[in-house]
Amino acid sequence: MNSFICNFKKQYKKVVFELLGFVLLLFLFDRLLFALIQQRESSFYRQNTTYSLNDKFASIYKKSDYKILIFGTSRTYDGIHPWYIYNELGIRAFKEAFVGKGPMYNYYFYQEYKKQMGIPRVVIYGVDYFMYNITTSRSWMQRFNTGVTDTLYYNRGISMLLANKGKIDNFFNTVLNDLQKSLNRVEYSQIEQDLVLMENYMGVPNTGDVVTQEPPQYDKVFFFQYPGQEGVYFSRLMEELHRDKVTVLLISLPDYIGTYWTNIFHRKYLRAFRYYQRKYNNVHFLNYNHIKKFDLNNPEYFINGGYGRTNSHLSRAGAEILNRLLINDLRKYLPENDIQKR
Amino acid sequence: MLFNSIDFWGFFAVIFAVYFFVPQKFKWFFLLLASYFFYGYWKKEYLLLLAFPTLVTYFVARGMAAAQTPGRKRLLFWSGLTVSLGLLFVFKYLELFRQTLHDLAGYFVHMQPLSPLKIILPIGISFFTFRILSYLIDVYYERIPAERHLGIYALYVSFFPQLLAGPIDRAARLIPQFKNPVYFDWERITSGFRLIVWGLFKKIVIADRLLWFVTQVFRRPERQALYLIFGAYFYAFQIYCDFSGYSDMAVGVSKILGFESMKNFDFPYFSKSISEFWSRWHISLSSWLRDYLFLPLAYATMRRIKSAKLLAVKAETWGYFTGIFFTMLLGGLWHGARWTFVIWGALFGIYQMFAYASKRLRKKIVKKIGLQRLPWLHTALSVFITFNLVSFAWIFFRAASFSKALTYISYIKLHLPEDGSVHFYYNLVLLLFFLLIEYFYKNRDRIVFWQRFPRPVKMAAFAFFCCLLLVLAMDTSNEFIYLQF
Repeated sequence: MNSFICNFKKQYKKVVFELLGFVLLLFLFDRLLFALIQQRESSFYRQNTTYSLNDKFASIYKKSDYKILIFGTSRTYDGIHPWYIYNELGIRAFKEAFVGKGPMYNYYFYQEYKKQMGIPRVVIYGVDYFMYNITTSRSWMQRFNTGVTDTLYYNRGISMLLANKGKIDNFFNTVLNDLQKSLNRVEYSQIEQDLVLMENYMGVPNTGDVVTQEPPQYDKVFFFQYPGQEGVYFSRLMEELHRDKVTVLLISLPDYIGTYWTNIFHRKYLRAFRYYQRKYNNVHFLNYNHIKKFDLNNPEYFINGGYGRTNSHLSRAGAEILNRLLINDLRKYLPENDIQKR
Repeated sequence: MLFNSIDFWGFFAVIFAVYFFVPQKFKWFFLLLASYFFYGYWKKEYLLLLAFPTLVTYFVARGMAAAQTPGRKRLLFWSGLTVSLGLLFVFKYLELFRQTLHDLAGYFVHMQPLSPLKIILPIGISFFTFRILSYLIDVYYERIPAERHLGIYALYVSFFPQLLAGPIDRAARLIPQFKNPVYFDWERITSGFRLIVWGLFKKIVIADRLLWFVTQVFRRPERQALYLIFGAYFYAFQIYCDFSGYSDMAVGVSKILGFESMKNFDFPYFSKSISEFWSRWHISLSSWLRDYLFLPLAYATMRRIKSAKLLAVKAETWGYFTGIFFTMLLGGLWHGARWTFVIWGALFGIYQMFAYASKRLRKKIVKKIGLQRLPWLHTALSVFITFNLVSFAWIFFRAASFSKALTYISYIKLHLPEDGSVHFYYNLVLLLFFLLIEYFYKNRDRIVFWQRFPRPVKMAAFAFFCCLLLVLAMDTSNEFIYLQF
């Protein structure tokens, strides 16, 4: 008989006992640590009162100037800038795009926006390849009295820590960002809370963090399909914007070529958003993530991304080109009398 | 398939489940298949690149063993070296060589810009080439016999836990293990598993966390002031945790399969001198360089100097200086086709030459200030100075170019920047926690209370550590730094 099996038979009692014991201990600590984190998370968000929307709306001098509302994640935050729109068209745009803001946040924000500012003419929504895989950060949801934060469920699994890894990381990052505020003079999230800073924000210069060399091996990523994490809220928002007769521009922002090839199944991605264009006559899908429309090969136009990286943000130079393209398209969808010749 | 990817662990789970049921005499074949699958999973075409030098050097070594005349043996030896080093040169250094020649020619005549050759560096080529070279040299000098079994030799070259980033085990150590029967040993398997978890912790908790801060300071050194010093320190730990984490996992996987690999790291940042650092850092490479480059170079230099002294310097000093400088230079170049790596290597060469030359003077200073009466302070100071010298050299290793390294150094200030970074403080806490565990691990045999704990308590501590790993881990998509070499 195989000497290995012979040896195993001699040790099997110890092996079984220790294996079972170890698995049991893992299970126990997994639950214990998870419960501890969950409890800390709840108390952190209960105490955190810094995420108020009222200040943001109160700072607006003339609400009727704002005819465009911009939604999206950090890619839109770095890629689409109200500054260009105002300088070219004389129309103010309210940009709400920021990291950690998923479709659920945008849906609830739109309700609040309507109450405070009225219905916008145009909504520009920067869609991402990973849009249906985004979970809105709980810290942003604190802004609304929807109770949604309490219904954010925890995934079940053999390991609670593993099943909820993304949510745990999200919480840690929120805590770190919160601590960061106390250290910085002007920092990243301050721009989010200050509309004037946001209106003057034009992106950051290229810093050479783009992976331009194609490595021999890198992970490719499939398109995460509807409904995913919060896709239902996206559908609800589209439906509501249709009812409100708001022109919606779904913008596919350019990815650096390495990221473009990392994210596979582009057709599925395009089909997923063109679906809304077919369904609602107020929705238009503009795809700038195409080599014919934008020079995806030029790393100067991006601050990150590349082969093996699923996410890519435009640099200041890249954003300038995109915004000029977007403004040209925007002219077609805005009523002539809204545009002030400059 | 990287050690920190789900793909690898799926692959290894299958290997582990089947391996122990494979009859002893076919184990080598099973591992060889697994190793080639592992390498081919990355790019099938490059399997040829692994198989070709393996076949050539196998027959060269057999030919050397059977050679009737020294001339024929030498001819075979050099042909084997040329094939192995030729492949390494084409895939790794040709572009640098071409570019440098082009730049040099540009000083004299007007040259058109050179478009780069699109050669993709095959992963692990430096590692398996060095494994092949050591085998050839050892067979040539008759330190080991030429392996008769082609399959076993091919497994030695391609053994998957060590294939991509070492350790660069020698044939004398590894080949006999492949021939010995492997028994089920629960203690060995659990100790391998512990090593894997520890390696994973170093990689995905420490190295990947430090990566963020290091990238930021190296990308924008202006206004980072004191953070630049810590950026170099953090990079020292990032690369250590990244590479030693990989080595731990490789050693752990080998152990589970029943093979003992050589230790690749031995707490290098606790070293009291640069030479001690090199005996504790990437041990499999540094010992390779010592045996196959430094010693032959040093002895050859000493042989050339006929008298006891040359230009009032002892022959052995000349031998040491020549050996260490060129070894370090080539050691730097081994890491990649970039001049910053060469400068990094040269710096270590200069450090060691200086240490050698100033040995007496340093002893005198220590005696004069009375430091020998406070050995703990002497040790602490030595460790601190060595760590700073090593961290300084890492700046050149990490920087994209020589000018960027100089820019980085020029921005160093001794005050904290106006805008604080929470990541800086978080990394500091994390590093202290890591050093505490490292210290505990290093001295685990001397820590009595830990020895007294019953096995279930130790198991519980380990289970807790595994859960902590899940909580603190960063996403696992970051590649290991040494895979690019």
